[in-house]
Amino acid sequence: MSFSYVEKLLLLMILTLVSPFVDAEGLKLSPESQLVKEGYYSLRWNKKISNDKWLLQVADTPEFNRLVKTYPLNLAGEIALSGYSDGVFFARIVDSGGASQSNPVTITVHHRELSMAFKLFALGAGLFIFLIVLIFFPQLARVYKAGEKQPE
Amino acid sequence: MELVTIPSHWAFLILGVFGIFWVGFGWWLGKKNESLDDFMLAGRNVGFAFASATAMATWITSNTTLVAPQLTYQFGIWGMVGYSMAALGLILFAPLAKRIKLLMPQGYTCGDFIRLRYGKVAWFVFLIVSLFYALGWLVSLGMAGGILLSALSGIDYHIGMSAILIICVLYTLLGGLRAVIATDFIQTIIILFGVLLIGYICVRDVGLENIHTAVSRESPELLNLLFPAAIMFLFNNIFFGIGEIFHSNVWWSRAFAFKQNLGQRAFLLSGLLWLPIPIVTGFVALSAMALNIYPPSADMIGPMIAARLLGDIGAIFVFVVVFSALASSLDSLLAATSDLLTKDIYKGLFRKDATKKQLLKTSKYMIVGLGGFTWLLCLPKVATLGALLNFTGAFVASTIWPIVFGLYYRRLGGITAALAMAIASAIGLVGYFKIGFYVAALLSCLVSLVICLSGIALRNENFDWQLLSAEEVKNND
Repeated sequence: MSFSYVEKLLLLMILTLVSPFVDAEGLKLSPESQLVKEGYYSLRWNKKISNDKWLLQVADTPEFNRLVKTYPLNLAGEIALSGYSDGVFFARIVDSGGASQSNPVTITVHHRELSMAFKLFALGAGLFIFLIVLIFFPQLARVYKAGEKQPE
Repeated sequence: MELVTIPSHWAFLILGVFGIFWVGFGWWLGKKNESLDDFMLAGRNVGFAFASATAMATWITSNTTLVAPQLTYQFGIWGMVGYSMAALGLILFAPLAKRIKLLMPQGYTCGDFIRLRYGKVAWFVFLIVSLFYALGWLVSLGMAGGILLSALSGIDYHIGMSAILIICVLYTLLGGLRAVIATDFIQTIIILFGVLLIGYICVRDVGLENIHTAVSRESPELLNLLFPAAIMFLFNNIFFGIGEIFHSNVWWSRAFAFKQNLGQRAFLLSGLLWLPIPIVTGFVALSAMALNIYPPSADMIGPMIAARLLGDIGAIFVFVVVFSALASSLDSLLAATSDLLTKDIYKGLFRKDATKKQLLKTSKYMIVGLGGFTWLLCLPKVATLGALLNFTGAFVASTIWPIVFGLYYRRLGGITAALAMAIASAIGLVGYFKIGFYVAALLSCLVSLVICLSGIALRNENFDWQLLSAEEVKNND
């Protein structure tokens, strides 16, 4: 079966016009961010769905054959998850029979460098000790001129 | 899994009863107010029990009841411990409160101190920082009210937010700081009882072993003591808390209002009593996995778990406790910020010759105006509570060293203090956006110290302490 040029054009126009409605019917899952550096992330979906029939699956394989956890959904259209270690995770919404009902999304968890965290920790500890000295032991803080007395 | 457990009409009834009680109490207390000192500083005569209770209740806020569980849910053990370290702000402010009362026995605001100690340039920078923080905190409290009502009863966010703002504005307006402190005392008792009860029921019903097993299985990083972002968060939160307290007029006004020689003991006790509270509220968040509760946004985890543990009646109880926590901070912030606007902006910039009677009237207008402005900013719910509050961390941490050097050391000059606050805030913000909210206060604090020490090394200022009390008396006449 072949189409004339005019028929192809008409078909294209019809598809263009109906495409937003087709998209709107699909359940779309989207992560707040695909690269996570703190182990916590949020996922949103675009439709109000029944929370006792649908579940959120998170797996560490794209085929979803090794599930990390299955979460109950809520009516707010968003879920906040936390405590993830480094790795690549895949999420999707499934119905009670386990059939996929949304697009799968990928979240990569890559925590910040521990060496940087320790440097900032040491920096914070140093600043804190200096503050204590400044308030409680001003004579040790060396911000006086020689011989200056502590203000009364 | 949904949270909505209180019927809307019950929520409205509780709001109505609480609203009438707090506003009526504020009106009754306000009858004793005759002068500006009575309204702004409760007659400068607050005793030990009220002093300790108000300091503690004010520091128990949406931070403690909503954000502490949020940060535990996100950062685990370090989030809980790090949050409790905000008590260090109160504890370290204890000696500062004594010093403040000694240097400025007739003072009204922290702005007075900065202006007299450092001059106008530093005063302008400080006012921007302080007012920005106050608004950030006010908005986070208003938002928390809306989120709480919405989470517990399904009432629209905007209605809940408006209700809590209106109630707090009314009783602060009618009773001034006297009403704020007296309501704080009652709210402290409600909060302490509520928090302890929820913690106890969590351990009894869920069990420590179940909590540990569920967290280790599902969210192992929450128990990891080498969790990088959480380690970064620890000292950041400490300096954020210290900055919040050291610079804010909420705490300075209390230092001025407490009886002579009480401030140090009252702040120390309130800090020690406050310290375990975020541990309890945060710990409750760790039971999320065992209870199979996963919130739409992290700041709702605390109320969701509490409501689940306590059932329908418990949801009402949670509502009352969190409402008390929010109100105890909102009223304090309204009162202290209106003092700052009245004394520093209105009198300091526009009406230098304003009488105390005019200032009293203006202060009341400021409370209403501030409440209205906060309401407008709360209308679009723009960020999570934690994110909004931590955004101000870069600003407040920049003031720590100028405040401490300003109170104890003669040698820091005004220009250096102004530069320290401005540059450190800017660099803290860069850290906030480039790395994360959990480094903003720490970076700001570091940069501020470097600039202060450089200024002390380069310039040889020699401030005369007597100027503080002398100028203060002249300004108040």
